[in-house]
Amino acid sequence: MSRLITLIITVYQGLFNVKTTLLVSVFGVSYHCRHQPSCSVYVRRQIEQNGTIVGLWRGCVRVFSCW
Amino acid sequence: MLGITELFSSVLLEINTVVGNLGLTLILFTLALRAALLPLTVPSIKAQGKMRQIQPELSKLQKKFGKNKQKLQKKQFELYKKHNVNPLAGCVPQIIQLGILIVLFRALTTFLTPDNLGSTSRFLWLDLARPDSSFILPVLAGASQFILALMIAPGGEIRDTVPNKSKSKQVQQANRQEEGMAQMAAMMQKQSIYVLPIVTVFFSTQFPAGLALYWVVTTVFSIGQQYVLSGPGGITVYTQRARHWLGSKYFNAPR
Repeated sequence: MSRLITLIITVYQGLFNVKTTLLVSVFGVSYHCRHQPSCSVYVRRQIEQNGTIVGLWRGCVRVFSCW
Repeated sequence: MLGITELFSSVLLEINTVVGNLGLTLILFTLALRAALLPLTVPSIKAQGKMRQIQPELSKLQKKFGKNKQKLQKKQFELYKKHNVNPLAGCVPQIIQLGILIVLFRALTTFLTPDNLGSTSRFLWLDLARPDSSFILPVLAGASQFILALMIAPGGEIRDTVPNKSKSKQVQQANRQEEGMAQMAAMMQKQSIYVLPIVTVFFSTQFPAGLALYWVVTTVFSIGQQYVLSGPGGITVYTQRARHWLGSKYFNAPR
């Protein structure tokens, strides 16, 4: 399970430019990550350290608290 | 979600009734939408440049307060406030915008149907309710997408690759795995600059030409906005690379 999520996160990171270009095309808003490490790297590390459920939960908390 | 789709569709219909030309309706709709978004977009583009400037300071904070998350977050926010970084650039606004993007796509595809528009769908040589068989708009959509992707390319690099200095074998192995993943993602990112315009051309040939017209107008607007606010961006790097490559291939070739 954790390997599948790690793969999904890697694909998301690979498609980062696609997402950014689409959003800049349509809305013109540029993005930068305010966290270090970025949320995708953070979730992957959390999953490795604390397991899938806890890692995913912590990742969701971080993503949905980033305004 | 349906309500917002209908709202966009009804706005398009209203403009079309007043203007009486579908092409101009789509151009006006796009320009009005982008003008309405300007108060959000201008600070965000400026903030992107500022974020690049304060990146070393952020790294220092990370090293200093890495173990105390609350303090780190507090110090980060203080730094953002000091440099007046746009607060609307987080993950949640991006998720909301992805949702609006889907709604906008649905509204345009619902609006741009031959049944809905009848004989009023002509604009220049195009029938905006059907795919552009001359491929001019799809190619323009792909080309503008490519230019924009090159301009914003420097912001998309993969960060956070861990330097493999740890003495623990377990940590070293984890770091190697992470570096491998980061390299794979970085490779996909580089290729996406070229793949996305091709995908745009393909999709533009499959959907009504009005959608391709919308895409060209909004992307050209973004290119202009990006150029005015933060310059040519990654285009400079890619132009230099292309010049270097052409120079070494045609002028310094061994005889």
